[in-house]
Amino acid sequence: MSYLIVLLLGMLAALVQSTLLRALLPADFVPDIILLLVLYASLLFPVGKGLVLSFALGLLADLFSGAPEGLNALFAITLFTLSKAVQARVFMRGSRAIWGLVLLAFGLKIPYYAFLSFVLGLHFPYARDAVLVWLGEFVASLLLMPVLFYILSKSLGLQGGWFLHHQRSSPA
Amino acid sequence: MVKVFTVLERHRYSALFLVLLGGALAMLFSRADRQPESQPLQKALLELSGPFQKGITKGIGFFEGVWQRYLYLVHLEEENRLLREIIEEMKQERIQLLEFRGENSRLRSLLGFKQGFQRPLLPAEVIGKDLSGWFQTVVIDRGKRDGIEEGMAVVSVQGIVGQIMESSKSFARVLLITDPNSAVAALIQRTRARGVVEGDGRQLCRLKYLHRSEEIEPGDLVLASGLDGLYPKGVLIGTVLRTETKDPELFQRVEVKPSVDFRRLEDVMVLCEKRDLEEADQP
Repeated sequence: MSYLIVLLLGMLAALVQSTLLRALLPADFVPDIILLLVLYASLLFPVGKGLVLSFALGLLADLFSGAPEGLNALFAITLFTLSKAVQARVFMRGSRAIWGLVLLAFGLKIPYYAFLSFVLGLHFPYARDAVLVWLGEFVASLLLMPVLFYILSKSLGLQGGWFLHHQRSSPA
Repeated sequence: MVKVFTVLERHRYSALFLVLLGGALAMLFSRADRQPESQPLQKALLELSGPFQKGITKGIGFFEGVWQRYLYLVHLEEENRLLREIIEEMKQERIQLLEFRGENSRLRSLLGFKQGFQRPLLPAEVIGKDLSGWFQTVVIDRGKRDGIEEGMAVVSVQGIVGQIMESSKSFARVLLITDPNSAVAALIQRTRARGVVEGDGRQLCRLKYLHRSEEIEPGDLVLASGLDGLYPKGVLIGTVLRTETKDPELFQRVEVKPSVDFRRLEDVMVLCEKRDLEEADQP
């Protein structure tokens, strides 16, 4: 049931972001809600169902944007697997660990997009523009993350602060 | 057989990962062979989310209207004075333009030129924007049943907006000219130098393939040249913001500010082929 709640919240977040948030926030300040949800799923859910959920969330991001189908789905399952691998090897405690995971996720995003754009023959923005888009997305996501995680934790009936729920996570 | 199941059971997560990886890769690499008409998932979600996006956007518009019209009136007096001045200037310009229009139409009829917009314009409202900051698209409240097809040009009163990249029954997604995957054949109004305008992925565009010997200045108007067969010739794309010429490079780097304010884009017009509209009107 909790998987469905995260997926439904993902759909709702996508709707709100493509309308309300894009109207209110500055143009380059677009949080990557789906990436945050995938990280959340990797902290909370076991591998099997979490992978399927990540794939569904990634596909949702593809369908709500002009991206080719599969681009974000591929990134989402890769990120989920990497995050699980990190959690299996590093003892994670407190919010700093989650900030670290977000940093890892965003660190991978530019090379991933640049590489796949090259492979698929898509045009990738110039380096300066790509960095500015990335920076805006990164900062916006960092600011949104505690709020989003708090809403998710409350929706799923979890105890503790927004960063404590990951103690329930099952390592890969 | 039992051994196979045992191995699969032991590596079930790896197998699941590989299956999903294969699915994502198959979707990505099959896109090159597919026509826009065969994207059922995209169309279904567009159709499903469209009404919600429209509802939310209408709500935002309502509150924005209340705020602008009744609450935020701080600079109204100053704005009023400025607008009156602009109206006076525009009255003078209008008289001049009417003169030019008369002269132009006489010359056109003499030379047998076609009129600019022969295709009918279909008004549409922007109801949603792209979820990601990496792609520049918007969703409009018109679709196939209104005669909208992939590849049609979209303009606004301010200039070129983009082209239809996919359309469902009632909604369509527009690829904006600021997206890096968009290209418009363009020319500089003053010098008639030709190039291609591509998006920079943010809020600006770049005019490419403009030879370094061309004399371009900031403020020059960039228009559609019509050579791509999509956008009508003469429609405004934007103005030159800055130029840069680096020594070994053959072409200049020209940054263009689009005439359309994409952040405030609400109403657009789709340039429909006449035959599409006629077909759509038929029951």
